[in-house]
Amino acid sequence: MDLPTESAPIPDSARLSALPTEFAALYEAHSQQVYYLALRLLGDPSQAEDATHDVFIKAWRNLSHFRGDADIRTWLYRITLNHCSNLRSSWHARNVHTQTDDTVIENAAGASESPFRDVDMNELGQRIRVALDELPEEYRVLLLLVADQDLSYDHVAKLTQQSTDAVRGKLHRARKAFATAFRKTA
Amino acid sequence: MNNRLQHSEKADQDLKATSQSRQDFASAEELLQADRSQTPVPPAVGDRIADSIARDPNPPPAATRSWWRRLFGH
Repeated sequence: MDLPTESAPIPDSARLSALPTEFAALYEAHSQQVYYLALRLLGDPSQAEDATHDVFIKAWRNLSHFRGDADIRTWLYRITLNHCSNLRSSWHARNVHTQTDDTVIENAAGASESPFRDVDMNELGQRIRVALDELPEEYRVLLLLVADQDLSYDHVAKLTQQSTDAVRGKLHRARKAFATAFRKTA
Repeated sequence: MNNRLQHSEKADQDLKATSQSRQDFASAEELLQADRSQTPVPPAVGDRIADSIARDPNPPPAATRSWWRRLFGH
C-alpha cells in the first residue's frame, strides 16, 4: 500500500479514491454512522462535517493506538464522543438548559398512543433534532448509540463507562423522555 | 375520458407518494435508524479528509498498519 507522501493538491474528483485503500474502506464502512452521531449530538450540519473530518484525521494519526482487537466502530465512536463532548462543553452546554429527567418523564404520564406512528418522513430530521435537544446529554448519547444495530449493550456500556445494567436502566428512562419530547414536536 | 384517466393516475401517484412519505415506527431506535438512513454524509467531507491526509506530514508508520491486514484481510 502506498501512503501519501506528496503535499501537491489532488484534483477534487480523485480525492477520495486517493486515500490509502484500507483507510478508504474504513471511511466507506463507518463514515455515515460517525457523521450521524456528530450531527445529532451537535445539532448543526456544518459542525458535524467538521467533526467527521476531525474524527477520521484523529483516527489516521492514532492508528498506532488502535490494537486491532477492539471493535473498530467502537473505537471511532469513542473518538467521536470525546470530540463532540469537548466541542459542546466549550460552547453549547453553557447556553442550553435542558429539562431534568424527572420533569421530562413526568410529562409523559397520560400519553397512551405512540408518537412514532404516521410520521412524516420529510419532517423526521427536524423533529428528531428538536426532540434530542430536549434531552439530557447522557440520554441523547445512549439513544444514538443503541440505535446502531452493530453495537451491543456491552459495547455501549464500555463506551459510556458504566455497567450494562446501568445502561439498560437509563435507556428505559431515555426512551420515555424521547417519546415525550418527540410528541411535542408534532 | 383521457383527461379523467390522467387525473385518476395522478391521484393514485399522489396517494402513493403521501403514503411513502409517512411511516410508523415501533420504537425510538427504529425512528433514529430511519433518520440515519436518509442522512448521507456530504461528499465534501471525504474530499477534505483525503486532502488533509495527503498533506499530513506524519503518516502512520508501516508497522502500525498491521491491524488493517487483520481487519480487511489484505
